[in-house]
Amino acid sequence: MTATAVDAPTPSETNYLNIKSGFWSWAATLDHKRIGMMYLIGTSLAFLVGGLFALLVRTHLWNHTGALFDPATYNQVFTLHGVFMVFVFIIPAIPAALGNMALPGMLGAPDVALPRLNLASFYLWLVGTVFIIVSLVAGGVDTGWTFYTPYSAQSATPVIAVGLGVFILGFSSIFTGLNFIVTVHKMRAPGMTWFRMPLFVWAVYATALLQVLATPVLGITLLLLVFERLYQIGVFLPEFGGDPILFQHFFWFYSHPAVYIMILPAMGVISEVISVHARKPVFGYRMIAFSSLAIAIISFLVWGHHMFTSGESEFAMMAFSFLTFFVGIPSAIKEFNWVATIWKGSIALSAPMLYAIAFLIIFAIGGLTGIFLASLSLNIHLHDTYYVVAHFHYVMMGSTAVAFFAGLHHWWPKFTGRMYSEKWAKVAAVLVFIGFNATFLPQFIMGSEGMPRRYATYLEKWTELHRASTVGAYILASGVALMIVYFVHSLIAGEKAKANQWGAVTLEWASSSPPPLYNFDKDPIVTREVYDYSVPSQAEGYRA
Amino acid sequence: MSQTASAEVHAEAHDHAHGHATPTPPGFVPHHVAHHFKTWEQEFQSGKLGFWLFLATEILLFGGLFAAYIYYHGIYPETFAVCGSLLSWKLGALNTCVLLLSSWTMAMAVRAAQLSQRKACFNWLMITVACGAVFMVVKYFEYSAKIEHGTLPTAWFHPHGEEAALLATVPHPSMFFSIYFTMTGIHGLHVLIGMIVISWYAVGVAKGRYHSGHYLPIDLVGLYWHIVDIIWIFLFPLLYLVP
Amino acid sequence: MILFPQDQPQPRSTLPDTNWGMPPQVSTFAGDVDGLYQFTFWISLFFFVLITGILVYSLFKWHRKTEDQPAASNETHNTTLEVTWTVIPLIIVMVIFAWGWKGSLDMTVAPPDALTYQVRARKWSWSITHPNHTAPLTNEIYVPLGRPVKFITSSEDVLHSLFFPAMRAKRDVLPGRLQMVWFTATQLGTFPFFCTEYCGERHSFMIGEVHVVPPEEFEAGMRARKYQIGVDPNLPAHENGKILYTAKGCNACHSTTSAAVNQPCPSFVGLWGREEELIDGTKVTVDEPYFLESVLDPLAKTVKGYARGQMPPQAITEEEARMIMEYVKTLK
Repeated sequence: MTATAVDAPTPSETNYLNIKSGFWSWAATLDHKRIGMMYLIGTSLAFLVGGLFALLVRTHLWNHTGALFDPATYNQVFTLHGVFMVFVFIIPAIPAALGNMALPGMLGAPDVALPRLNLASFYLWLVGTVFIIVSLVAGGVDTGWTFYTPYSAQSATPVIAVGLGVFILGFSSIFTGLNFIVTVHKMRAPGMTWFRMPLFVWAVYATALLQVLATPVLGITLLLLVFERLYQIGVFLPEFGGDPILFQHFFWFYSHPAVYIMILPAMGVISEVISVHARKPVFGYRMIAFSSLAIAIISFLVWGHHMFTSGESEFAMMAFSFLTFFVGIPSAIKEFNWVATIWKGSIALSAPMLYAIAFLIIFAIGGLTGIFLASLSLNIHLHDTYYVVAHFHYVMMGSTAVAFFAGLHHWWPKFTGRMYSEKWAKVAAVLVFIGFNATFLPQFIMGSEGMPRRYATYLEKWTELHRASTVGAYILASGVALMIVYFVHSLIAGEKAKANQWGAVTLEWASSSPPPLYNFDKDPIVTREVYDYSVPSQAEGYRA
Repeated sequence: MSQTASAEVHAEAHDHAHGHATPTPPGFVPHHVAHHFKTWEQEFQSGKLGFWLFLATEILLFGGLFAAYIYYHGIYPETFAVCGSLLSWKLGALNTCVLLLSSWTMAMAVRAAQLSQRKACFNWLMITVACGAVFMVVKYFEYSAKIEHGTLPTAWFHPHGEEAALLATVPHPSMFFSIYFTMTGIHGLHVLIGMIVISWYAVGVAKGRYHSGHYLPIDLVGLYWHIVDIIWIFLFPLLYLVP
Repeated sequence: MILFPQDQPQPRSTLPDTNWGMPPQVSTFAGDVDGLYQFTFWISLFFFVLITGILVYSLFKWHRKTEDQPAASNETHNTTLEVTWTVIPLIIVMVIFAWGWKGSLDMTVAPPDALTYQVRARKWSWSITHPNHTAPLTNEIYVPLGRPVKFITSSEDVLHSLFFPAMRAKRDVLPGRLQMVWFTATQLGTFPFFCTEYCGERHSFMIGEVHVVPPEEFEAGMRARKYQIGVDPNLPAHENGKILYTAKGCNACHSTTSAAVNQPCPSFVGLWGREEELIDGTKVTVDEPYFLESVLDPLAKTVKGYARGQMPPQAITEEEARMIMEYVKTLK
């Protein structure tokens, strides 16, 4: 597919960043790139706040009696870590921040289909986040990010504020997803057939389906929880005839697909980064595209695997376990396809590629440990232990957040117009990789030994493993701190980025860096297949 | 397909400044296609698709409530039978008729907008809003009767009189009223929002903003109103009749 | 910094952990679970080494040396290869699925001759009534070697989960619904058990020890009703109150050693006779009627600074409450 003519695009004098200035030019912008940029800043700050809570958790667990807090405070800290990371950071980070910036350009479109809704989505995100911050000021919640009843209905902490905050964040997510579905259907450039769409678009499209179809159920669940606290609707409270397990069914009916809302766009980012930096078409393009959709569909049918110890019927356990193994297959296919893409490529060990390689290794571990948890008899032993904590951090932090970093480094030159220090970026990538594994590998061992999750204090025998994990967390944090330094430096004094920094062939690279207001000076028409590196794409690109 | 051909580019740079206007009947306000769209058709289809997806989320949101209803109806059928019999099916039926009527008037309003009949469209919209108001008034009388008898959600549940004796015979009667008030309350909120939005667009219709060249907003608010109506069509038998 | 009424409990494990990072195998299904664990572990390791190996090899072999180096191959797909790497993992995971499913069937159905224990969970302790016993034991369980035992669980407040790592057995404990978990112990010794469903502030204190004892010793203990904490009519009331303080789980929250205030619930030290301000602003003195009411109907009055409903209604008689009151009177 791609791109404009063989000659370099005429660098526009104006781009989306310098065309207007002032507070309102940002606050009231309808430009998808500016909205994406605001999302990027917002979600990155949320990541730092959530990360700070993570460091507090890890520091507290230095001693088996707890080194920092009393247990009540510890419970609030891990809850806020979860709420910030899941709802405020990861769910919007890739689709709403990176997706917003890159997706319309990849389709050859001047903007998303519904720009006003896009801005509304951002403001809903902001309002939802404010609700959560208010609850933090009011003392913090202590229910865990899962809000299980009846505890959440009884807790003396401001559950209503957080419940409403997450409800609002849910609608922000729905609006983003809805917008992307419409954009993919209606805004593709002439010649941009479905199978010429980059895989990031496929991934975000599959994600958007999940966002639209799963999030309303979370919305109603949290509303019912709020009603439970306001007037004891009773549906989740046994003393009024309700069933607390029903809450878990409702919650996981959303929150399992939500896991794929997090990982699917991450997979899309990895497909792009690997293809560009290995300069090779993504191997098995159609398999990856279809596996995204397969994951989206099957993910609606596996929520019960979060509840294997809660007294489900044996038939339900069997069905949910079977389907869970089934949803693992498309993920495995993707992993094999990415490795096959790298095979015989022209592999540049650039910073985005290092993050992508880190993703492949971490995601392999995250996926393989999922097999242990999907298996019924093993799950009963490992359920609600640190094994689960380690597993989902391998998927959510190690895979999704690392893919977010990969995408950030990949598209940074395009959307800021500046390069960062590649040398320091590589150092940070190595620190993140080492720190991450040092944090979470010990947790697998503790988990299989029986260490339960959400413990403010623990048995003395796990002290060494907990300390190793804490040291790892600080290494990870130093990598992230380094990242902040060189990104800020890049904004202030970074060298100018090329229009097509990495020699990519997807359409968003076919305009100047940063792109003009409507992405392209001239409407693109697509005549080439996707990921076709066989002909020169840009003057700054490579020559075959 | 072709491995060698590079992309072509429109020779003429397109004009992003403002989109072209759709055909406007005389006396109406012209509508300019938003400038990121190439054609009116594209804009129209995008709005339609987006709104259908939004309606899907509405249905899923109520789906959670229906799931809770079905679950507890299965566990406490006698509670639902006894409590349901305390609701006035006559008032429920009246409201069903009112909403069905309003769906028809809404459809007529959309048709009038498509035909650029400004006055007719305005009138049909106002009749729709009036039907919504009748629905809310009936709902008000139903709610006040419940408040008077103390048949309320659990926190305020204190039935008295004959009903108390009847409700004492079934387990967890307050559960039914919690579900009743939650479902009808959220639905009533949707009716109220619909009335406000329709009134807002009625003003736009009076000013001549909507016509054969631009009736999408009227079309969409119409779809919303039908969905609210359909949800009631399910609520009415489940709460008033099935028990 | 941390003010606990008692230190973090440290249940022992008298056997070392087995290989593979698993606890000792102390139940009939532990071996099967560990077998599946090892099987899955080796297969996972094989695939992990394969993927990482190919990846690292590629990075060295096809590392970009010049800026304009094209890929060594532009192959876009290979149907045979792709079908192979779809079908083989599918077959492997189906084997793992079947193994795990079969294992779980054993865990969900207890043999008919299993001894029955009643377990009541509350924030934040376990009360276990042993078979043939009339009163519970707190956070301690005695089971015979080689005989199936099943635990019928219920919760008085929120969700809990009863987890025996050494037995590979776990089941959530729910309010308003009975649940069952069972095992047959296969080795003598003492092993920890945990609460694994987050239940609030002292979730991590809700742990205890399960003792596997020889069957003859257990028979004798069961007949003599040794495994319970009961009041002794020969002791003075405050001594019995001290026993009940532990037996009824008061010790999960209320300290008897420190008057520290940074607690989810008031310390018993210095409580008697003190004037307290309630959440509605009225003042009460901690006297007999107030104390008994607070134990028997915990929701009746709540002292300012504490959460209403923190203490669930207790399974306790007025006589027992009076004994605890006598004990509290001694804690100046």
